[in-house]
Amino acid sequence: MNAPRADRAAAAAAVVVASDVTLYREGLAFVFAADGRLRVSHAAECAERAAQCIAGGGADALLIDAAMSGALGVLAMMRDRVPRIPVVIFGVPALDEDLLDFIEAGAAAFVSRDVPSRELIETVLAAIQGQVVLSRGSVTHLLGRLAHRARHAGREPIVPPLTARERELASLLDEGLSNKEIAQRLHISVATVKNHVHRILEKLQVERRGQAVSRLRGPMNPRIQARD
Amino acid sequence: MFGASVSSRTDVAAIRVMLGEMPAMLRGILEEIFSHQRDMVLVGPSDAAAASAVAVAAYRPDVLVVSPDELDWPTSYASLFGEQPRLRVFAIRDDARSATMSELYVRRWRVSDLAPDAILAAIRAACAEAHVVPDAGTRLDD
Repeated sequence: MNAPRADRAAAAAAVVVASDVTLYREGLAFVFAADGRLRVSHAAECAERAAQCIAGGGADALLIDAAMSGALGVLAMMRDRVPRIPVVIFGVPALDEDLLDFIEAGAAAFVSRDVPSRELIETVLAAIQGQVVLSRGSVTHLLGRLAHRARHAGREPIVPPLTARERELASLLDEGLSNKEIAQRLHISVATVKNHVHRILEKLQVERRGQAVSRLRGPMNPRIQARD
Repeated sequence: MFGASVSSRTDVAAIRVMLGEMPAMLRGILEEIFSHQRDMVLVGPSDAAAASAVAVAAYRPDVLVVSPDELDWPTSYASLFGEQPRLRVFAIRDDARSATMSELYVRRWRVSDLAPDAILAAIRAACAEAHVVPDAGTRLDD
């Protein structure tokens, strides 16, 4: 016999869901409620709000959208302050070049948008139990990345290198294109462009795109290094 | 398959919703959302790639929900209106932040002064897919 809904909700693990996409924030709450083993304790629409929710206590895990601006910063904060709470990144393609950055920042597990709801839930539950969850494709990809980094030890850039996609986008920034023009050129949404630009600014440790362009044009710039 | 298991508990005029090409995570969310609506019923195959003309012809959905990767989605789905003229296509952008609803409809204008020039102008305008109605015409469906 199934437990009453209220009892099941109380027993469910509490998850903070962080995404700037409303459909994911509210939709995942429906999915978790239907399954009964997880519940959304807080839904955060930005990195700052996610950090506040975690700091407030009571969460068993953080499920955060990889495309959300400031996601890496939240992971860094949690690694320092609440390392016991696992962070699961969703929306990461299995071969995404950002995977290693997220792992270094303390992420426990990854799921792409191509996984079914049940697999997402199982991944979060496994992370809460202390497991690290990666797909086979991700492991292969990560080992390759780690080997690359080992070969280039000592010449490693101070900040994370730009991914191939970010370099492509950075070159368009250098041409002076607007976000809308970049979106049209690359056939992606303006929101996706904004996410990439934000990530570039974070990695280059600058605040404005003009500064990023100047940094990219620097003749002896050790911080910009291709990954492949 | 959703149609067989869900349709028995819905009203006669339930809106038939079919989920097409989209990431599995989004599909799971939408299945959960739609399955709780008393006036809607999910129809069609439960896996991806349902947005084929064959599936639309077989399940006759009122609304096809898709979230394709490409921005030029209308060209991919326009042919489905031939199978189901009353179909609406709800296309969610790949970033899941917004969507568009598309439907096929008939545009009509009244050509009140039926002079030869008015007939020719109306035909030319329609065939040129002009958005500017000839002076003599009155659009009826706005």
